[in-house]
Amino acid sequence: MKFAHMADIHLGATSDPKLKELEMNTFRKAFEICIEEDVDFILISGDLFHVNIPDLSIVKEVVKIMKKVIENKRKIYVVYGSHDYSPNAVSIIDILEEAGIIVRIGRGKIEKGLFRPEVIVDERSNAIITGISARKLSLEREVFKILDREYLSSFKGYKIFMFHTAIDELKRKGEYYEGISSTDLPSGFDYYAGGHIHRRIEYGRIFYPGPLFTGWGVDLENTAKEKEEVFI
Amino acid sequence: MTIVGSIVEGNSKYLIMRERKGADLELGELVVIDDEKRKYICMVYNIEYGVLLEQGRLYTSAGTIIEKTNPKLEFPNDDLRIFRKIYLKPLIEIHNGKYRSPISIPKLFSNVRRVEKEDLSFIKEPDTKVFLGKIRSGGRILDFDYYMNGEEMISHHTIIAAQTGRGKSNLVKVMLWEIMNHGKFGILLLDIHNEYFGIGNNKGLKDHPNADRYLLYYSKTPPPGHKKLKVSLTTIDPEDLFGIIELTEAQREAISVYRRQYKEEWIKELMCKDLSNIAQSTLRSLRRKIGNLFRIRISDSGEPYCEDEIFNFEKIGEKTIFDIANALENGKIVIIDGSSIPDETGLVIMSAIMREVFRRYENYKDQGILKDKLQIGVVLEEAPRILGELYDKNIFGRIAREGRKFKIGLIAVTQMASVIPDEILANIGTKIIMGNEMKKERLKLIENSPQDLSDYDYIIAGLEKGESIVSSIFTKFPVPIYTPLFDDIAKSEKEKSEIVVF
Ligand SMILES: Nc1ncnc2c1ncn2[C@@H]1O[C@H](COP(=O)(O)OP(=O)(O)OP(=O)(O)O)[C@@H](O)[C@H]1O
Ligand SMILES: [Mg+2]
Ligand SMILES: [Mn+2]
Repeated sequence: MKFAHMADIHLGATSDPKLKELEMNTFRKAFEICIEEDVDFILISGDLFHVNIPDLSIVKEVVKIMKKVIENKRKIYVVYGSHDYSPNAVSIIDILEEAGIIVRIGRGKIEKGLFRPEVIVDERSNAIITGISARKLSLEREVFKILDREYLSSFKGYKIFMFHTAIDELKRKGEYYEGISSTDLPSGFDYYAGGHIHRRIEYGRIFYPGPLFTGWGVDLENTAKEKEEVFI
Repeated sequence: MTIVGSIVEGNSKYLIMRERKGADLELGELVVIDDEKRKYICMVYNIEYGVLLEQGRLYTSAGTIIEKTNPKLEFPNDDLRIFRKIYLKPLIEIHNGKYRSPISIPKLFSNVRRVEKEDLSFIKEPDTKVFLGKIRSGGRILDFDYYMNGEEMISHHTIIAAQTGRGKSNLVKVMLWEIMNHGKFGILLLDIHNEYFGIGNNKGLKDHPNADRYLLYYSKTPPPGHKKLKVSLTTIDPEDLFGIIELTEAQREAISVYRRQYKEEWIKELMCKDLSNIAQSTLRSLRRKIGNLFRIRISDSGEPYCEDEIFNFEKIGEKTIFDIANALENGKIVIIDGSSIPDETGLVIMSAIMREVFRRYENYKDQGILKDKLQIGVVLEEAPRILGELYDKNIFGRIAREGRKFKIGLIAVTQMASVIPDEILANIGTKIIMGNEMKKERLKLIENSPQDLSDYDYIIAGLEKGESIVSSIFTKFPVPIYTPLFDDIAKSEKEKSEIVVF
């Protein structure tokens, strides 16, 4: 099994035309690598877009790029990020899902006071994929508190948990987010696909790929030193 | 109002009353003497026989009864020549609605009655209060809640001393529960028995309705929703080791050399890099000590790593100390589960946190904004070494000596008050003395108390679970209280906050 994991792409973060182009080129390049490497599926752990309703020209490009993967019978799994989610309006993520371009992870229902996220099996690889979407102000932390862990542990196979939430222990000097503890993640997964921390991190089985490219403020400096990051 | 006796003897230090038959006063009971202008509250501290007969007759009578030679009582029960003498210690005097230590004595033949809760109405509820329990008269619990002013109590330090099993932890839990009602104090606590948070079905501070807002729990194995304890070794300062591991002068010197040279990487470099100006023998034993403390091993490639899950060289938990200091500033109770880690590990972390808090509060004082900051306290349980000989070299000693100026105080919980140096004990403004059968412990506490407790020795020895005497520079008299069982206070269930998910 081979898959790519990206997060915090923040498409549309920049207004500079030159940077805009670079941003999209990087995104395109990342997807090309995915096709070259023949990955079974792609995970995007939130903040694909910088806002919930981005500029339509960006969306058009994204659809074009993603379609190549879809036509190749590969799925793209996405959770909302803190940026592309809106509590009271439609997000572009919903439209992409409706159009069959992506599969949204993180939906679920409350049963006996506990949150049961929908669990999806990737048809190609049999990977078991589930997760928790981000909400504004890291409010999804409340959801972790009522996560039905027993239910999730009943699934057997290669298990992936997607989320867009920071982990407190990984916080570095100068970083001020409110996160969860690593112990808040449900146990027994093979790969925890994180987003929200804009740094590349490998912490046990927890992975944050960091941004692909972004013209967004502080990240510019950090990202400039790195090449495109597709985590395979 | 039932009269229990009448004053017949005494002076300004003690009064003796003749007890009314059947009144049956007990040691530690509070009684009231209503004089014309003044009212006195006194405590029973001694009970004696009063007999106005020749002693020989008493012995003869006792003999006739037990030897059955003439088995009838020679003295009738209502014989006025036989009674009980009750020794009373005047605690306070209330005059024109004001109360103070007694400066007078009641008239001879003044009537004495038992205390009622109305008699205590002179004790006012402070603003930012800490509930300690109900006032008690001997073994009788009055329906009168006793609070101390938390700012005074915490800033001037508190000691809770008792023999094992007398209810120290219960009292701390009750205090913290009340503090969580208002969130006006930041309290750090190393929970060596993991008994405060309330693991599983046990009642604990987690059951407080404000727990989401005011409680933080760090553990090696936290339940979901709580914090995993991880501390980056880059956030540990040499000072955090002092008083926790013993170091020679040469070793301290070596540490400061590494600290100066490698800044926050000092532990890592000390473990694997030799410096020519430091003796090999010093380094060797220093590495052993620090290595043991942080469970450091050296990998095959020569890189140090921590075997323990708590500390690491990878900057995991780089903001733990910072976050906890923030939480304390914001009036939270922070519990560190010390049950699954060595005591030294817990104390090093506590030290690092309090050092950060102290640094911030020193700054606030310099900027003149300390008065807007919340009072912070740190609960040290069974840490006699920390408060003992090495006290002057670590942050806890600094807090003991000057924390008061920076709104930072200690709450020391101990079975062994006797090992705490007098100068530290003298600096502790509030002593909560619970039951203790060890004469040595009692004496140490009595000698170092704000009030004269010389008549309390026997009473302290006999205190039951939950009973204590609060002797404080902020109270006019030693207040006898009973702290209820925490589980009874925590009965109210935690409200479930509503969560929207989709
Ligand atoms: N006020 C009280 N009324 C009745 N029982 C109490 C009271 N306080 C404590 N207890 C009981 O006494 C036992 C010991 O209490 P606690 O753990 O608070 O004592 P401790 O002084 O902290 O002991 P240790 O020195 O072992 O830490 C507990 O089982 C507790 O339930
Ligand atoms: Mg205890
Ligand atoms: Mn984000």
